[in-house]
This record gives sequence, structure tokens and C-alpha cells, in this order.
Amino acid sequence: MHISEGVLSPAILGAGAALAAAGTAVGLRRLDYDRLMTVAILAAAFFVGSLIHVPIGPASAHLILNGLVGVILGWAAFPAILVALVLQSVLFQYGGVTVLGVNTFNMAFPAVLCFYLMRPLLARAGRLRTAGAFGCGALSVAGAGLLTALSLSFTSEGFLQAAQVLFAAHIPVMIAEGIVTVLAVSFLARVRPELLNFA
Amino acid sequence: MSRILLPLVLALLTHTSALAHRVNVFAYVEGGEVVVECSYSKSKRVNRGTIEVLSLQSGETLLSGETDEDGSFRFPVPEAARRTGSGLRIVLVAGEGHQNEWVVDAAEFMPAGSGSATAAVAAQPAGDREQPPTAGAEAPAALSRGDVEEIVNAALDAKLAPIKRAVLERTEAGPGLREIIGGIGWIFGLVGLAAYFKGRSRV
Repeated sequence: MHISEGVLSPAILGAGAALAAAGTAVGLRRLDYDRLMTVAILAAAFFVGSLIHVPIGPASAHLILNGLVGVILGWAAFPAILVALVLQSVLFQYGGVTVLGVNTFNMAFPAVLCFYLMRPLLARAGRLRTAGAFGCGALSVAGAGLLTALSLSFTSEGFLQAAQVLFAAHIPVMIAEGIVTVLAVSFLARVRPELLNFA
Repeated sequence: MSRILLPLVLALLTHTSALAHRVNVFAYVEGGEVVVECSYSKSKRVNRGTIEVLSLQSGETLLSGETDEDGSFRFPVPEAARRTGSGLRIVLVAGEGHQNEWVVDAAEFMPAGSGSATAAVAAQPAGDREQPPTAGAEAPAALSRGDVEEIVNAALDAKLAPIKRAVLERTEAGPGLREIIGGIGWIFGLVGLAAYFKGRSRV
């Protein structure tokens, strides 16, 4: 879901950059510096995640992992995803430098939103937490697809077409990420509960 | 369960393009035609991507078209580009925000007679010197300049085909281990930097 260079108009690029900058500022301000290493690990996971292809039938889809980043980091998902996207655009030529703002906001905002929506569920134990974690993983991907389609709505492609294609293609990714997030959250809750701050 | 799974698999099969990271475009001149190859990766071609060919000088659209199932698109070198000696900017719009471009320089399709005439003339004496004088000047005179150019071009196209393929494969190759490990190193380096400054301000 990396939007390439030269697709979007300067107005959208500017708006995306401003929103991403605001999110990153909030994320850095709220960041507990004792958790810096957690941010690094999740940024690295996001950076590598898009290289991991999940085989589903004859096709394959790559992970996005924005939901996982959001569940553990909250607002700090913004700086983590920004850094990972910078490196992806420089080293892998995914996306582009001018589109960084838009791509960062598209990935990070749904993750933060899901974190707050699902927090009441995540704070509980057992089934409810599992459901919350799955929701975070799956809905963050759906939200990212929706925002990407919205960004594309002023191009020749149009919102509806882009949204349909993106959504259809990402249903398996949503399921995969939901499961990954559930596994990660339940594992962390058992082994390092201090990493999860849902209270 | 299968009632849910089947549409899922179908949706995946028909919309694989949206899962790609980036789209590659590569173009070269073959005879009087420009061949454009478009792909998401080594095995995934761009099916029905929109191609726009723009003049490098004026920026106007010269022609546009769609790739076939194999992600390739051929078009004759536009007359306008030949006349003005302008290069071509080939823009591929593959959908879902995927876009890339490739520039074909004018030198790649302009006949040797126009732009690089001096180079051709300069090369001639050297060729004469190597030829034994007994061969005479009559035999090659039957071939016009155009014929020779055509023969050389055909031979070169055949010889360069594997090189073109190699270049194409290079543009399609995904990130290697070096990039991946380098990126992870960068992330931890940045965090180390942040920790250093944070730690210093605390002391």
C-alpha cells in the first residue's frame, strides 16, 4: 500500500506531511524513553514485515503490521512507522520521499485509532483481549486501505475503484495480521506484561 | 467455511496487483519500435497498465496505450520525437497508487546519420586502413548506408537481447539481504542516538 512518487497532487502531499508531522510530534512527546528499545524492535518489525509474504492459495500477500505497532506503542506508532517508511523508501525504493507524509499517516493513524477503540477490550483478560487484539490487527489494515483509497480519490483512479481493489486484496492480510497481533499480544501478556500499557 | 473462502481466493487471484510494493518499467529500442516492459516482480507482470509517452523536451503527451497480459507494450518511435530529436519519458500508471517512469534518450532511436554523424565519419578511415587494399571498393558499394544500418541493428538487437534481459531482471529484483540488515541497523542506530542524548540530559 505504498503510494508511489508522482501520483498525488501537491495539496494532498502537503496535507499528509502536516498530519504525519503532527502525529510524530505527539508520539515523541508521549514516548516513555525507557521504552525506546520497544519502539526500535517494532519499527524493525514493520520495516521487515512488508517483505514477509503470506502464501494464501496460489497468490501471496505481504504483512503490514501497523496494527501490531499500534497495539504496543500507541501514539509512538507514528515515529516508528515514519522511520521504517523512510528506510523502505531509501533502501527498497518502496513509495517515495515526497509521499512519506501521506504513507506514514495512512499506516499510523488507523493503528492509533484502533488502539484507543480497542483499549477497553485489551485491558481485560482472556477472550475479550483476544478479540481486541484481532480487531486491532485487522481493522488497522482496513483503515490503512481506506485512507490510501481516500488519498487516491483525487487522481484519475477515483476513490471507489481504488477502495474496492484495495479492500478485496487485503482481506487475507487483515486475517493474517489479526492472528499475528493476537499471538504477539497473548505472548507478551504472559512473558513481558509491562510492555503492554492498556490501563 | 468454504462459502467464505472461495470468494476470498477469487478476490486474491483477480487483484494480486494491489499487493505489490512498487512497479518497474523498463524500455528499449528495437528496430524502429520502442518496447516497454512492466512488472511488479520477476514473476508478476503488469496486466492492463496505462502507458503514457511524453516528449522529454516539451512535456506534451505523444501517445498512450495499455500493456498486454505479459506487461509489455510496443509502439513505433513517434514522428514528432524523431523530428525534434527529443527523448521520450514513458510513464506507467498501474493503479492503486503505483506509478513509475523510464526515460528513453533520443540517441537510442535517432539514426546514426543525424546526431552522431561525426562519429561515423571518424570511424571510417580506421576501417579503411584495416582492410587489405586488394579487396577493392566495389563489393560493399552494392549496400546502401540504410542497408548496412539495418543489418548492424538486427545483429546488435540479437546480441544485446541477453543484456537487456539482465538489465530488466536487475530492475525487477527485490531488496537483498544487505538492504534489509542495513535498514535494521539504521533503526537501532537511531534509537541508540536518541538514548544517548536522552541519557546525557538526565545526568
